Amino acid sequence: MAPMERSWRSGSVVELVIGIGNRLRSDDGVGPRLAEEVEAWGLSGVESMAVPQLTPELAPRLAACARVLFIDAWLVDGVDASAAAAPLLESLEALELSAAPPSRFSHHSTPQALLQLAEGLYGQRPEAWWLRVPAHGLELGEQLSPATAAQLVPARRALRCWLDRDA
Amino acid sequence: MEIPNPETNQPRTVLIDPVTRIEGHAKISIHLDADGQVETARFHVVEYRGFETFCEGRPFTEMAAITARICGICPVSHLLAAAKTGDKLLAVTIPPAAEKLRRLMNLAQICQSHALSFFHLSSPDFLLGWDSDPAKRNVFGLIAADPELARSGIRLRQFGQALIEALGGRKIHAAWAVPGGVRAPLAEGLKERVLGQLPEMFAIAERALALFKQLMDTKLGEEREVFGSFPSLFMGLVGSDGRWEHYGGGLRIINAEGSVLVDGLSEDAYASVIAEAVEPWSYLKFPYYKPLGPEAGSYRVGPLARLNLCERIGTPRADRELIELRQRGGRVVSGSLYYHLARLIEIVACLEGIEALLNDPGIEGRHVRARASVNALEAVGVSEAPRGTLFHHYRVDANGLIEKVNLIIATGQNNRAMNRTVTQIARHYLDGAHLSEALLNRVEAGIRCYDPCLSCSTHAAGSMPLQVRLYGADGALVEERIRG
Repeated sequence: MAPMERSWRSGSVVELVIGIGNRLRSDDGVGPRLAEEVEAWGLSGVESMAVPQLTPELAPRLAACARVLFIDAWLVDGVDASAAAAPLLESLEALELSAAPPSRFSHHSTPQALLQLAEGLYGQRPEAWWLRVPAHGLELGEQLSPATAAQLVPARRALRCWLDRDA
Repeated sequence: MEIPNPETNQPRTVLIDPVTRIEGHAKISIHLDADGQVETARFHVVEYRGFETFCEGRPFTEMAAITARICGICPVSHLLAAAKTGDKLLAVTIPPAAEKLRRLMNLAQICQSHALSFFHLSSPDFLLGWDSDPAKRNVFGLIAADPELARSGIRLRQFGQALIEALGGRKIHAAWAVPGGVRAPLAEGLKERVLGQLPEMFAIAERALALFKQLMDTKLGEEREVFGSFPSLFMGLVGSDGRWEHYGGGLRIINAEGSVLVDGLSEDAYASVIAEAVEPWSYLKFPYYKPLGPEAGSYRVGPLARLNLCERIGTPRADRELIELRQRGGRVVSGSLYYHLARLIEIVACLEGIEALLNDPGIEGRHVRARASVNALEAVGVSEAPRGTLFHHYRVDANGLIEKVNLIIATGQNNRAMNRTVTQIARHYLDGAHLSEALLNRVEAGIRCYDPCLSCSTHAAGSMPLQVRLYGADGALVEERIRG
């Protein structure tokens, strides 16, 4: 994929793409894989990172950027899987996600909790979006399942829309 | 879920099911006897990890990168244990600068991991109170109560993460440590940058220490006695001169009275003193000290164990804190609530260690990797992860392909202690008729003392809630509680 035209972008605008997941867990690696693709595009004003999970030190980075896109695997099964789910690009503001943080039994956070952390501690939260890519298997392995691999093209299209602010 | 039935005099079971996909599946069950008293409690891990099998057939040179990717929580620990195992398969002594750089990364890792555990996962319990609204007893409640403390935790995390990234490259799982050494020497300018940040980090750690010590002395008296306070063995690495150690040294095991059972043991001989028991209700193994058997031989690892095992830390600020810890808890501290205090002391030790390493001209050496072919077919590597001692044991063929892998992780070694901790807390707080918030909060907090990591994991969107169920004597569901 060729780098996109970025002539509209001003130097001060920073967009952050965060791919979440584990590349050794089959379809869970789809987020990091796409984030690494974005990094390889070398777009000015765009920072991209692949992380195994969201942790609190990301909050100041969120507070410092204008827009953020979280890319995550979305485990579909049963009804969802039979409906051949496609990648979903949604504004996090529009989603009615739980405002509560996840159990403190765990070390990970959620996009919504991280945004709240950014706002609560640093007084700012960026415009936030979530790209969820259907995942069909999370077993140990470095390859995406054929069904998830097939979603890479529409996922890249959604990414392009977001980066071009067409979303 | 076992159904209570007093008429048949059968045991009853209360099940607490905290599950998030990210760190594997786990649940807690509390087993009651016919009189409604807590008989025992179990911390179950119900997801098979299977990493050892996944690694078979791969070149051992890939193990550092693979095992680091397995765990999103402490990748550096796996990276170092794998690299150390690889060193021994090559049969090389790594360049002095490489060892100093590996040590530097491990100190950064311990520092940032402990910061997450204390500031964001555990401090809301201490500061906001066990019985405060669970919806507020979290990092957001902490922000409201003490935003500077919350920001401080993030600053420490950033400091450690930035140092790891500066050493190993931007990606957290970069295979920077390799068999024979590390891939790159110390980057220009990094030393000055890190040293410049240290005063702020010391101030953060010392403020947290002062706060937590005050809480331990005033508000947490009961918890000190109830949260995993029992005699046990402790195991970890100790330097040859009795100093606190996190990378080298030998294995030491002490008992609850401080008597040394094993000292200076090479990791190569770990199997001569450690065996792994299995239980049908958990995929997590239960390592134990062989001569005493699975129960009496169970031991604890991690920050508290390391501080119990060493004679001294070897740096002035941390040694002062170690003396205070022993004044509070004794020479061998048995209460698991002290794990939190030990974490804070280790943060200070890590900061002092980072300062000393960066001021050592030897760390700037440019020769950082020894190269060789496979010269041994079996090796064991060990490092101290934030949560405790981590063993990697590989057997390879003549081409260096992995034939067999055994990983002994810190959380597994604390497994029996976590079960005992939950049992102790349940016995103290379960009233037999109601699964109270007070109990749930404290059971969770008891487990958090060990900062367990079952990571190994996936992070697909969505998570499962904490599910708590209580069944009545007639087998009917009396109460169900779900936490998001």
